[in-house]
Amino acid sequence: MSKPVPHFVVTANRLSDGLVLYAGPGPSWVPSFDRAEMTADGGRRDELLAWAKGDVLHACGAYVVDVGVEENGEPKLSQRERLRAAGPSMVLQRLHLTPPELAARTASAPLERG
Amino acid sequence: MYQYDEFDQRIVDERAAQFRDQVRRRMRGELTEDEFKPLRLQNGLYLQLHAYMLRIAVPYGLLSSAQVRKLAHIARTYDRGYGHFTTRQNIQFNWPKLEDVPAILEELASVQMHSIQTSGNCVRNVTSDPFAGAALDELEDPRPYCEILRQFSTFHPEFSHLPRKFKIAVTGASHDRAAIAVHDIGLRIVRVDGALGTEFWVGGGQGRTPLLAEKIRDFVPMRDLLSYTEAVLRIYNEHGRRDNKHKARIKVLVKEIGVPEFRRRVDEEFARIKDEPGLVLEERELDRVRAFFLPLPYDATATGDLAALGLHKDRTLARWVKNNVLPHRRPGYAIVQLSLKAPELPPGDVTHAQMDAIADLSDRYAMGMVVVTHRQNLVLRDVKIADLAELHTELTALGLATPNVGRASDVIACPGLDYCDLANARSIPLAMAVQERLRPIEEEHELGDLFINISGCINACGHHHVGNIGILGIDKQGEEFYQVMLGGSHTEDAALGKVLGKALTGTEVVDGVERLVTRYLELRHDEEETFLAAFRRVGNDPFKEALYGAHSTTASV
Repeated sequence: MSKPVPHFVVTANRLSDGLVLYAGPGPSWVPSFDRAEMTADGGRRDELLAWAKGDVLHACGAYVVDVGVEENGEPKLSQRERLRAAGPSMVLQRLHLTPPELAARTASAPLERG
Repeated sequence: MYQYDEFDQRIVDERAAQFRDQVRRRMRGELTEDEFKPLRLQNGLYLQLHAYMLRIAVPYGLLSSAQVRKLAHIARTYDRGYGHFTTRQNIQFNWPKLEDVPAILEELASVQMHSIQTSGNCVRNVTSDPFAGAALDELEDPRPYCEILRQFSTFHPEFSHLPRKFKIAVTGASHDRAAIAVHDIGLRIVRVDGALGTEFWVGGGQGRTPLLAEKIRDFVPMRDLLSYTEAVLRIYNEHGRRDNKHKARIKVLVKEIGVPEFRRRVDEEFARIKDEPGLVLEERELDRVRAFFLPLPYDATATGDLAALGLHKDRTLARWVKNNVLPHRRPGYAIVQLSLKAPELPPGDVTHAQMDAIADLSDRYAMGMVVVTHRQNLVLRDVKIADLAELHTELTALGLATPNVGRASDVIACPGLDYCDLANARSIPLAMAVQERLRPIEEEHELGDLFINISGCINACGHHHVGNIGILGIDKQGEEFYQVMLGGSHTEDAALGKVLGKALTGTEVVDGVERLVTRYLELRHDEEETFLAAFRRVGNDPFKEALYGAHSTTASV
């Protein structure tokens, strides 16, 4: 059985409000993990990171996220990166303060992965 | 409460203007992020997991109603409608936009507030007893000394770049409600032979290396409060480690060189500086600051029987009085605690509408003041006993009368991985799940004092080391797990909890905490024996068995 190939995405926070961004095709900034450019190529990873770090007018805190592979082939992220991708669990909904656009991407995550 | 003079006001006004320019330059690319980061942190602005977070200083937890209204306005106008009160008696906003922060600082300055020294390696917000000025067991109101220390440490040129952050807590009562044993400096005001002074406790703290403070002086006269504090800070500044962030707190220095040597160095420095102008706390200056904290215009005709109210036929009211209301030093008055641990809400969170309502209630019932507690609740300090029933009705409508202060469902939790960039695991959903699980037990049994504290990482913002039940989130290969520790205490019998065994999943922890509480109910002598007292009497094993099962007492940690 072949060893899973490591994949990477590049992420950062938007300078204006700190919201999570991902480096997407182009490269360009996209707001969701699903639209991020995922690469197994170390050279492309470094290019994306350099672009992200260079875009100082729009983003800050850029770094590379290691993406594993679940048994079903889906991307596997750490809990931290899952939360970054999904937004705070439960918190906003409980306060009934979630703006509709955020509610759509905010998971009500259980304490463990289901 | 303390009122800014023209110099105080100018400082915060100028600071807001400076930050407006710094933000403008950053947005235009004239400052790099590396250049900008220390500037924003000096104004309490962190970049967290999903957004910026602004931490606002609430000196010794004391807020005027006008300040609470301003916080409500900020939450409504610039954030997402709520704020989060912290274990350091501060408030945090979790969603400010960078471009709005200068305006927020200007709004804060307009009510004598700021976010200076809420981050960085400096002296942070001085914390104190939330019942200061009203507590029955108080020897001396600690707030004037807190204020003097605040003024002494704010922008102190020598202590702006300490090896690490530095936290001071002050209590003036026999019962320690300020957790002085887990602060870099803990002060307990005492009177010896008629003279007022303070004990100096040094080197306490939680985090990666939890240690209880050591008492290095039984009595420092108030005249020498600043010079002795300065001597401690100087020794720390000179000898504290700067090569390793994790070993840079004063507690590590005190532990490494030992209390006698630390005391010797401090005393040597103190002897050198004790009479320096500006460091001697003159009676005149003390009187000037004390004047801001004089007893309020209490109604001398106020009467009421708090004990009787605790037995009221309205059992909801009686239970609230019993758990959330405390005797006041003035006849006819009571101290009211507002629980921020209502069902289905994150611990410490308050909506803008609640803040506005709290401000109104404080004006109507509590002489216009609100106090933040390190247990993430609020206090209306000066309420007439005669007004309690009416106030209870108002608070109930606002969701602020949950009768659980100091009880099992009064769970302390840091923001955790839902917000915090440093966290390993979530705290808030776990706190809410624990609350939900324990609430029926709490309603069925008189559980007494039971402090549960949850931190999402080793930095211990949820003070898990001093929880009777402490829960620490850890990361295992990218997944969140939790260690459970027992036996911690944050009061005058301070103790650090000990880890019971292997880390558990969140669901296992919720089940486990329920079993721990059930085991306590089985073990206790009677309702008077608290969880902590029972634990100290019977030790780890019965609780370890409850948490992990019958064979757990020999299991490896």
